Amino acid sequence: MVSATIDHLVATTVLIVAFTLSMGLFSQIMQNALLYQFHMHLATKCSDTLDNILLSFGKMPGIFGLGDYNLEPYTLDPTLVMKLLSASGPLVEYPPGSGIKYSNISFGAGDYFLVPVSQCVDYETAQELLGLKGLYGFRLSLTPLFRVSFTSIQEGKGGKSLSFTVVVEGSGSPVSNANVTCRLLCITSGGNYPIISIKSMSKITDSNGKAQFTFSDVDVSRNYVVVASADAAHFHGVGYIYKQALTGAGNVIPFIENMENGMIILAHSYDVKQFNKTSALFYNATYFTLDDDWNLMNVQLLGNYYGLLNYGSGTQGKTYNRTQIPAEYLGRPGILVVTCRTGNEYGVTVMPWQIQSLSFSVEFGGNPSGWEWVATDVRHVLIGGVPYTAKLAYWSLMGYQVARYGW
Amino acid sequence: MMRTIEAIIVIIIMFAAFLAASYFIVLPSPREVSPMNLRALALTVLKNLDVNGYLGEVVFSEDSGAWNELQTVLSASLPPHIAYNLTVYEITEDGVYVPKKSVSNVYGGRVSFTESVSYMVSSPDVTYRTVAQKISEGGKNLTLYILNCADANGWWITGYTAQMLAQDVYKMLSPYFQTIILVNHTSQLRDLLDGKNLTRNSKERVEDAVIINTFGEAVPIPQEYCVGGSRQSEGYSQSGGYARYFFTIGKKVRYYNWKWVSIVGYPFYYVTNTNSLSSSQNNFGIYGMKQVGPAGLIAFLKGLNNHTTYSYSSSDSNSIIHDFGFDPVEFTDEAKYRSNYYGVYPEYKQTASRALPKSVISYYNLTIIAPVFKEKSFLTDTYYAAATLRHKSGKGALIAIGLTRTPDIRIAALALLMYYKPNIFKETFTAPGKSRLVILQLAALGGV
Repeated sequence: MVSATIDHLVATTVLIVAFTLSMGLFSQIMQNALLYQFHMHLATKCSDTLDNILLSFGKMPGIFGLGDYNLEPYTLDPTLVMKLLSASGPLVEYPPGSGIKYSNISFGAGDYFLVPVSQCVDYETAQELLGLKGLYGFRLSLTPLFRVSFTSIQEGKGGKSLSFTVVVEGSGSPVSNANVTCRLLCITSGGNYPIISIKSMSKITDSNGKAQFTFSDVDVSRNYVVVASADAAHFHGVGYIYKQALTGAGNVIPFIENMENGMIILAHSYDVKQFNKTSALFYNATYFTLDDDWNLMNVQLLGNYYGLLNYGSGTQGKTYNRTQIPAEYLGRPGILVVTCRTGNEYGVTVMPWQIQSLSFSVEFGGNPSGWEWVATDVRHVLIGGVPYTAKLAYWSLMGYQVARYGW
Repeated sequence: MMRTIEAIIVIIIMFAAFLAASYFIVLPSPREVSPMNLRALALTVLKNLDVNGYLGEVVFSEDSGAWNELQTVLSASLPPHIAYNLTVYEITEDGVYVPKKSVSNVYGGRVSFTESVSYMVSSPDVTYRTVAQKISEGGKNLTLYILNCADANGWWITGYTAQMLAQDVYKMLSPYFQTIILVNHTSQLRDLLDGKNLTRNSKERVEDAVIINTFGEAVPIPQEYCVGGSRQSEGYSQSGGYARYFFTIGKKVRYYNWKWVSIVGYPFYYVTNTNSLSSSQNNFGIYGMKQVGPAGLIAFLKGLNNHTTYSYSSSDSNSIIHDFGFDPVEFTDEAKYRSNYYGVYPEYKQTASRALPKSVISYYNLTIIAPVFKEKSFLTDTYYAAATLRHKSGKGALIAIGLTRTPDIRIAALALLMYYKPNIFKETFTAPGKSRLVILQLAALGGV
């Protein structure tokens, strides 16, 4: 009788342990399967949302989208892309203490794309218009497909020549047989205000996507900007370099004050980057609009496109001035080049009008790091004839769940 | 003991069931769970390659260089871990798909392509396209200036602003002009009147240019030409008031051989400058505007007719136009033809309340060219509702659209196109409908 009882107890205990263990194993499989379902749902939502953003026409009220109803699907409206509030750089306040904030895309001391936050679409608004608020987070990245870079840059004796190699690469491989045109903008002394002269040269890239350029009989001793555009299969890519961005007194930073009328503030960098020196800067802004063949066409700016920026009391000049892009050129891509001088030092800043004119990339949305699962999807898009990769990172704000359940 | 053995048997059965279930329940890899949508990526790549007709050109090309370029661009367009294979099929008349050519970044080995998209491409030979001839004179392309001054107000353009009309006419005429410049401020108009280029565009030419005044019956006036301005003597006279300004414009139109386009109503009836004339209004509550009246058009015609000095006569203020009221004017046959030719389709019957008389036109040595509407008689005179009035010297012209508001800017554009008659080059069909099918297959390489 006792042994039978012990037998029952042992058998029951072993059975309970084994049952619990096996239930645990089964539930783990089911949990994983459910999790995978959630992730798959997230990937599907990611793909749908990316198409929504790229195909919807953002110029219609109450809609967040980058599509242009005058053009083919997946061809984005450059003006709408300009209005995306950048997530890549901190907001800049200008003038200091004014409370006026600017969305910031900068790649260095001489590359700026600063647009007023009040005229941008922010992440929260986009989430709301897409119906994702409180459910999903996302980040949209627009990256140029062709990367045009410069290597082996050599300046001849006395700045009388300039040679360099242009490298054109796609996302997967170098781009051979691309037609590369380099425009050398030499910055020369024009009295107080530095001026620009242009030389141009074209080459075809070799099987490694490289093309060697040498500009002779030039004067690049003070400063220069080279803008290289590559053309392959009617796709364009753009790259640029400059000799030096800063002078001892900083440089001039362009702020797009109004995207609708092309008003631009040209500000002394002291207020923006808190340089120690507030010395006077003579500046001269030159605007190039790009035609269909990507040629730079010099356009006369309006307002104070040249002048003096100064902090010193009792002297001439202001801490900032305004210039304006003529209305008829606002619909076309362009490049603003602001040269400045203090003493014998020459600085330069460049700013695209429409991001594709200098192949600037854009990051828009939240921060994907730290989330349990981030789905991604990509599309191939065109912005003003320039191919971009549109990548969407997408995550659930509900943790493992992807939809809020409630009673 | 038996119970324990039974329990062990049950445990064995349970674990066997778990193992069997585990064997059959194979969870997908993370890549398969959250995949990149390769199909959508492939479709967007093909679509964008075809935006400018590039894909169509290559697919129907036998040039190996073109195919190499396509391969290069495909490799550059897709992420490095994506293998692709693009195959082009010709569709025969029997509906059979014959493979013509393929390019791939996979050499040797075998890749299982997981996604594919198809895309139909038409031969470039059957693409219908048109190219407009640029308007030129004397072998040189002309510049179009559109008055878009921010410091001026319009009149008789009810429902529009001059800026809206400027944008519309810009879009409409941009295929026909090599250079189009918006005159955004009266200071720029002053420079234009001085014969200065407004941009650094080397293709801008002030001579022989076309100037469209989008302000209706009002014409922007630079502040220098206003009373108290540095050029008052060229813009204002005691007897004729601001008619003097229109005399100056007439002289300039002749000197630079301009074609001045008045888009609606009575030409040169008001001057407008929201700064210098801020306290004046046109009797209808529109400030920044001063009425000149019929003397404005007469002054312009005197200038165009090369009168040495401006002299005002009280008869200049008598209206010369005729209002045909509800009796509409109708397109000429040429206007109907050109309307079809250029794809500009305004209503072919319009109300003309500011038609100009032939007697006055002849008096100032003007020739009527390319009338948009059929002439209409009233009493002893003949009237033209919209036409180009070119001076017999061959220098300068006025394109006057004497219709009733609201303006239809398409009439002004049509009148201009009828005057210059630019050609539309149309590509011809050289092949029967040919299409090829492009299949792009993709596969993601590498581990999880």
